Amino acid sequence: MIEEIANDVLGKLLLTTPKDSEELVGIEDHIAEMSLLLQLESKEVRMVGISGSSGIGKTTIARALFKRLSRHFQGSTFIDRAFVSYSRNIYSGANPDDPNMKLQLQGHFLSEILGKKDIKIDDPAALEERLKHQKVLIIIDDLDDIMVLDTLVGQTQWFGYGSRIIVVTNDKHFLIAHGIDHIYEVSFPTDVHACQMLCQSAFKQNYAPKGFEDLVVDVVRHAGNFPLGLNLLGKYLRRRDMEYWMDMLPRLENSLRIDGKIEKILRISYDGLESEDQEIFRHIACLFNHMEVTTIKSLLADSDVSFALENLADKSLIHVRQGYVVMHRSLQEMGRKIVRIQSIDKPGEREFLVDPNDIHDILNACTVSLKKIFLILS
Amino acid sequence: MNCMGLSISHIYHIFQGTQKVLGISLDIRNIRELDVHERAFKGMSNLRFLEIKNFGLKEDGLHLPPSFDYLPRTLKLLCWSKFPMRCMPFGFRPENLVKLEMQYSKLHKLWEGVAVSFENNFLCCYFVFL
Repeated sequence: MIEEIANDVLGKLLLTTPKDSEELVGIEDHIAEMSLLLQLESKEVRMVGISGSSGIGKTTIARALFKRLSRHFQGSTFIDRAFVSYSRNIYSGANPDDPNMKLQLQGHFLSEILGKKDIKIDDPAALEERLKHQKVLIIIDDLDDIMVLDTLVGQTQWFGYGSRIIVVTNDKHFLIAHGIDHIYEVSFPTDVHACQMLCQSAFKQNYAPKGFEDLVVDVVRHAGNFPLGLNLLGKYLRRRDMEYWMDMLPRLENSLRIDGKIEKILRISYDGLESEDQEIFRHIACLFNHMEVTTIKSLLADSDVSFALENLADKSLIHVRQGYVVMHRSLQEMGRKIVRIQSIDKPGEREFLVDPNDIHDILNACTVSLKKIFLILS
Repeated sequence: MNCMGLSISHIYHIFQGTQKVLGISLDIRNIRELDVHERAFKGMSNLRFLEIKNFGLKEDGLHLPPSFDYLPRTLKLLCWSKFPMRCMPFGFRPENLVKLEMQYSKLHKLWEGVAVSFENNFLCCYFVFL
């Protein structure tokens, strides 16, 4: 009885927790929706998915949930792409079905949840044994590999009563394939929220200063209700006068398709950078995403990296989390595209090569060239 | 040499077509088979970052000829998982190397009889011998 009351209180707590210092527009609505799906008062182990297109704010919602909920669980962990690439390194030793690999990955996962260093397990049942009496909160962000789900959260009975597992992905099929049918599909923000997002990013408040009211509405109408784009645009327009805002409007026009718009916004943000910062941006998009800041600094010691990283973070083009540089997937794609169009026909004249087919041709190229020379000479 | 209109400088140009490349990042999962030419990196006189990731394939689709002996001395980052040779390429002078990560490689030693001096801060050297 008492436990039931306590659990009910928990559900209410989630909704009434004081707002974060950093104002997140629309977050209360998302949390209310998630609260319905999570049913925190229920003792079952529940898996809930968050899906929606890239840049719509899924990670922001997941991080806000984690911040509010984690202290109510005995153990908790937020698995991001850095963890996944780490685990892929572990996996590189042999084929993915190798049981030793799964054990290493599960050991690392257990260390994270229980907050103990270097837990090693030697039995596939160990994960269940260690966790089945623990009420845990697990959030897996940016999932793009079903192996991660199967290995870390394969069965609900591995976890103690009341545990919650939240899986965030662009691709709903991963959720369905894993039997997760409670899915929150994040939709585009309302016009009002979109305007507030732009204001929050540009003016650090939820409303437009005097004189900017119509401009805010116009920019949002042209840019679309796309949270990542609005955040970048706001940062770009910070401390700019009305004339600057007006000059920007035509640059947003002429793209009807949503992905065309997104690309245009991302591009405006990039074009507004100094060329040194653009260079660092391209390095990160092609090679250094999810790399430690200290490593990046050593690798680019001949340029002023610290300053560039600060600038990029200030414009929300990257985030630095726990010492690692993180660039949003959409921005990474745009950065790679910029490099690709440096020379579309001749990959060898680009700064970076990331496309497997291009790399294949280049690393093979000498053979082809020699054959050509031989043909001409003979 | 000038034979049928093809001069040494023509040939030179064919090999020099990659000198702008600063970095390569290849995920082996995305290719079926790759035979790396022994002179593949010869023209890349500016290559600073080379990353070859090899996740979870039983057999490696990437082949290096036994005569492969060159990597540019400009390299600062060399990450090559499952590097198939037993020894680092003889012609590679790692004087600019900052980070070397050769997970699950077949390496038994770094360089045969070559004194290695590192000018830069050698951040991390991570080997897993099989």
